[in-house]
Amino acid sequence: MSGEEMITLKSSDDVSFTVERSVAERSILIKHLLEDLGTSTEPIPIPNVNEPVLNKVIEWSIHHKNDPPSTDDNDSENNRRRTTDIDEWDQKFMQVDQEMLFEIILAANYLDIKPLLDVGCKTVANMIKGKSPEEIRKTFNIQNDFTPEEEDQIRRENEWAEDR
Amino acid sequence: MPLQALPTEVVCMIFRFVGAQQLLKNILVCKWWYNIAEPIALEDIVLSADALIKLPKEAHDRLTSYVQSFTLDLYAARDEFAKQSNKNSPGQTITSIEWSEALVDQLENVTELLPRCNRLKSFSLRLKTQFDPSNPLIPRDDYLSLWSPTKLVDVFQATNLLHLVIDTCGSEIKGHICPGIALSIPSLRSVRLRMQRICPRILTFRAAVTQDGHSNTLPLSKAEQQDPIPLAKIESIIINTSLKESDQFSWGYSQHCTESKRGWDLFDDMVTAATEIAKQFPTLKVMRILCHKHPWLEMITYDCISGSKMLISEDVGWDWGDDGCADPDDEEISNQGFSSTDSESSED
Repeated sequence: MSGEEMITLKSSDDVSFTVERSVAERSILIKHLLEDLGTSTEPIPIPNVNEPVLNKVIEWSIHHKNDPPSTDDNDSENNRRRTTDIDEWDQKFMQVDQEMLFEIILAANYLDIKPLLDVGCKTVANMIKGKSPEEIRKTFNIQNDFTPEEEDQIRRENEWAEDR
Repeated sequence: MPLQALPTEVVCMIFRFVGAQQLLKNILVCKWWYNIAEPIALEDIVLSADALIKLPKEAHDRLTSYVQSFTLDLYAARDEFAKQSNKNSPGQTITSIEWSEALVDQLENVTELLPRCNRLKSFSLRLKTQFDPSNPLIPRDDYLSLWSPTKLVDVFQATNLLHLVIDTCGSEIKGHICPGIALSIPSLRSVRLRMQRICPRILTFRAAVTQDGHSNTLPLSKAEQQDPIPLAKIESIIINTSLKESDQFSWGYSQHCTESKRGWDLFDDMVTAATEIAKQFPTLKVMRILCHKHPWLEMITYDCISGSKMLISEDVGWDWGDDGCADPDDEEISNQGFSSTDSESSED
């Protein structure tokens, strides 16, 4: 694999990263860009992603560069039994502060890296699961802007759903 | 950066990973949260009998707009409901007949609701049994014996359903629903069935198939133009003729709807019909009939496409399919189990 083509990516704060093309192509956005450009010796600017976040995204892409392409079967009956299981390496990788976690999710969304976006979303979902509304507010620093009357009404509307 | 700064479509992804059941309990975090969470919480609805009885008419419109997967997990829970209604309105208890009638009324409402659910892809009706292993002599309560699902089964064709699960193991029901279900099967993708009464009529359906097993390019005959045949989409059918969970003493089997057949006799009939339909419909990738053996109640699955018989493990749900492993007693079954003089199958 000595001759693999190298690609340079430039973060929003002008830091360059040089990676193998297969690593860069974990991003569907970059993959399509490279297909359109043919070969590129120019650095590719990534205007929405800063250095620390791009660094994380590249770390993930290097670890997962040989993963088989994900099969996106939205219609399957498994759809409803989706799990939030995350493999060990990814779990460790996602042990970052909330700010960084959201930045990684944003970057994965922008760069179109579906498996990384999934891992990020699962991580946030696991922070929500099993918590009460009050605990969720605390976790994400959210203010409750419902009036007691509004809260009451919604609660009444959803009473039927409580003992399912 | 707060959670609210993420794009809405990403928040939707997160909420779908949380799951509808969890989310519905947690929609009151804040207004921003509520507006995104509520539609997602209503995509996948699972209702118990008591929840179904409580479902108010006002919730119907919200359900029809969002529900994609609708599951009715019913089991007799009258005592619990009686306690509840007693608590809410003291001095007023509900009898089991009233409870059953309320449940039947709501099932009729669901029947009217389904064709209005434009996004509905998956419908499951599970009548569970309240067999109590610690008190096994209590007779099984056929809590829905007053209800005939024929109307419900007829509306499936008016929906965009892809996946259907009907498991009436836990209660006797009225009416012969096999012909109705058969009509809806071709346009579905997957079907899972376990019914107290079933017959090969359920595998008698017509649909348009071409050589490649998909598109229909043949010109329609006159009769077909008047009564167009649906295009076959069906990929997977699994039918379980074992009701062993319902009652561990009679080792229950499904019964034939119109003939006095049950157990391995019925299994044989179903396998014959299923093998025939698998030949007619190349769209079918899974076509299996299940039954249990004596004396240890192992589950057998018969693959009607390859003609092979397998044992499936206990811990795997029968309804999602399991390839199983070779049955060590295979010889014995083909010699004894399939014969019509099988002692267990003629127990009635």
